[in-house]
Amino acid sequence: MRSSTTFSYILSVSIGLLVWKLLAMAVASPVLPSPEAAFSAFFESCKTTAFWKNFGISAYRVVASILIAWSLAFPIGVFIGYSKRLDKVVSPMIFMTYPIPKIVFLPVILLMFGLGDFSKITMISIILFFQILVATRDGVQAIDEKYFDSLLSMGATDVDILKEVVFPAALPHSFTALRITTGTAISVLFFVESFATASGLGYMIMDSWAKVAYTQIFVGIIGMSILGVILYETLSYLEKRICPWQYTESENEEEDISFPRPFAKMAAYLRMIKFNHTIFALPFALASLVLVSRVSPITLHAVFWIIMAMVGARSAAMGFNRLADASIDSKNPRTAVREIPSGAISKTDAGLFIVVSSILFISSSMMLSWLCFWLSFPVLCILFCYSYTKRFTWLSHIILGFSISLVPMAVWVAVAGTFSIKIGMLCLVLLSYISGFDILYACQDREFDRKEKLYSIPAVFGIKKALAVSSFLHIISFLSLLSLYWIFSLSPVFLIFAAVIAVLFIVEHKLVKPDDLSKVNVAFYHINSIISLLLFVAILSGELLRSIY
Amino acid sequence: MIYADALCKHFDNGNLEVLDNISFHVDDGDSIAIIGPSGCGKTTLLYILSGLIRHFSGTVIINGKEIKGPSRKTAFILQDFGLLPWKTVWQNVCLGMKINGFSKKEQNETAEKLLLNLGLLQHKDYYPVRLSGGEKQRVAIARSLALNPEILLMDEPFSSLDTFAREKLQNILTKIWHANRLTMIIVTHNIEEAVFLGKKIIVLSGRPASIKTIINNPDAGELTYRTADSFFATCKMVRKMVEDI
Repeated sequence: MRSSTTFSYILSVSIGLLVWKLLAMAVASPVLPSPEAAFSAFFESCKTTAFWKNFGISAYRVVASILIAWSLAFPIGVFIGYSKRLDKVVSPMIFMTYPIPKIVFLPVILLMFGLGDFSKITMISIILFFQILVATRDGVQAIDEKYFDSLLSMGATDVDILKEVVFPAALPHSFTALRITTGTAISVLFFVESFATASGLGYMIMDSWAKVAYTQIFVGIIGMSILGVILYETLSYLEKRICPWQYTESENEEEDISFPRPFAKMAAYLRMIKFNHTIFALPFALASLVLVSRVSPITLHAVFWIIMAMVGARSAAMGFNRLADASIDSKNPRTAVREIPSGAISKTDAGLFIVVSSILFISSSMMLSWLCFWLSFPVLCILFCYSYTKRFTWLSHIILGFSISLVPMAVWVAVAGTFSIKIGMLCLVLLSYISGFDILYACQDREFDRKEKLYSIPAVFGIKKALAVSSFLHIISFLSLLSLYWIFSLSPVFLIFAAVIAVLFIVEHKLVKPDDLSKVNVAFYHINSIISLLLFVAILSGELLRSIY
Repeated sequence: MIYADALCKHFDNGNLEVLDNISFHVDDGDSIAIIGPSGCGKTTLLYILSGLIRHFSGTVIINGKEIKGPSRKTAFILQDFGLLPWKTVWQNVCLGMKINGFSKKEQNETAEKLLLNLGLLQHKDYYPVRLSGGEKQRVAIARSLALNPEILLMDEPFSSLDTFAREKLQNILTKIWHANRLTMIIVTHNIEEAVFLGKKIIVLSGRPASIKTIINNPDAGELTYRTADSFFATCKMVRKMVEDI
């Protein structure tokens, strides 16, 4: 669950950045700086105390408001919800004032409480107060009577019922309201900081506007967005800690139940392209980036479009693979739950998804260089062709490895503008690594592949031999990894990480036995993600510490 | 000894009659199964016996005293168990003791013993949502036994369980019943359950509920009874009664 939200974040942020970048290019005006420019300005500002002072004061104002609003609204909401008599008196008052936009009282509040923090906090608190109050009250009124009866039959008093039933039942409702109102809280914060003050992120934005410092406006915007995300995530975290029963999964429910509706579809797409498997190849791309930095300087522009190209290529390839294999997948119980055969994503939608992803890949390549643009077509062709190799050759694993192993080379070409034999060794590491564990995955489908006349090494040669081939490929992978030490004359630190990777490879192969394949899925996902990350860390530290030795 | 005399109950300002002149008695350590069509007022009857409903006509006398409200000596397991979702198994079991001011030490000892007996100790930190229906029911039983009651009222205790879990729990309940010398009143719409657990079976007619007949069933509560010929004969008799309603 957790990793899915992280990936949703990454995806939304990258889509957001892409749209921003394209808009900035289309508008071509200083009013809308490009994301790189805005973020470099943001990082520059992060080094100044002025920025942190503004960030701190804004955070103080909004956090104080949240705390005050909650500590008033929650108890009152609980009592109104619980006591029918109180509800009769108080609720009409609340609902009469509910539709009135409280922000219009800002001048009154400023006149009454002055221009300081107190009036700002009061304003934000008032607005949050009503949201939390209503949610808490409704939460209490929705409590099932049987809980009260159950406690009453044990001799509970009103105090017991409030303590054991009403408070805990209302807590999650108040938290949900809090989370939803963070957006409102930040908006109001901006509003109250936009005049009659000389501190805070809102002031920073308005001040930059007055000074015609357009990039600075975006520094403030980014700062406020980050403040919002931090608040939202902190509240989610607190909610999970304080109301753990809300997040215990029932053993018989489907896993997606906690996905909010609009994200469910996106989650289906992410699962279709096995987005979380990006972790296997992405570290190789980054490793290649580290190595190529010796030859050419790396610009933020290049990194941005490389990531976009990778997201595009990967999504297109996985989407195409799932679409091409839909009819095969539907017959195999292990894969019938995949998104297209199960109907979560229609074939038309998947097709559209592939087209959009391909366009993203090709256009991102074009942003890198003309060479990349022309190369993107044969690459896309290779990525698509892989899906069909399973139907006529058991070399399909190697071809899968090959198509993924294009990543380090592609990164090199994107940055340096030329090919390199040296980086080819990193490609070989990836090729043998991926092919090796694709064979292990294929072991699970041996019976099915045989029946369907599909080619895979386990289906053609049997599980025992397949495991041997896989071990052999992983030995090649390790040896070629080792050779990077000499080829790029890395620091000896690299060897320490390489040794750890070797141990992980051995553990991985110890986990799988010809008669027990149960560990293939779960164990591999974790071990492989560690291997990939370690490889990146190995090359990064090997490169950074090189000058020391 | 529970003694109920001429119980009547109206809802909705007297427009809706749910109980009509219900009278019966249960001896200490005995059990009664109440069976009848759904919505006939069985649950209302249990609420009256538990002391949760105070406005009714007629009298309920428990151990020589007219009831005035809920009592620690009467445990009531509601339909769907009434476990609090925000409390772990352990906290749910301790709840009644906590409310009644038992010491922490006493709470811990009792909860540990009960959960161990009911095979739930390894799940003590689970929230109810993670438990199966049978496990939830066992937690509910543990929670009510924690207060060491004399009377156990149960509303459709096993209706949400599959046959295997239901029979297993009926056996567990039978053992607890004898071991704790409980007086039990069980509301059910399952004929076999009524016959297996009720030394007397009260068949209620439809709304408003009135007693159609009371069947004596002295063998109830023996674990071997379930396979005896007399068991099937009684089931058949009850079925016929129920079908006639």
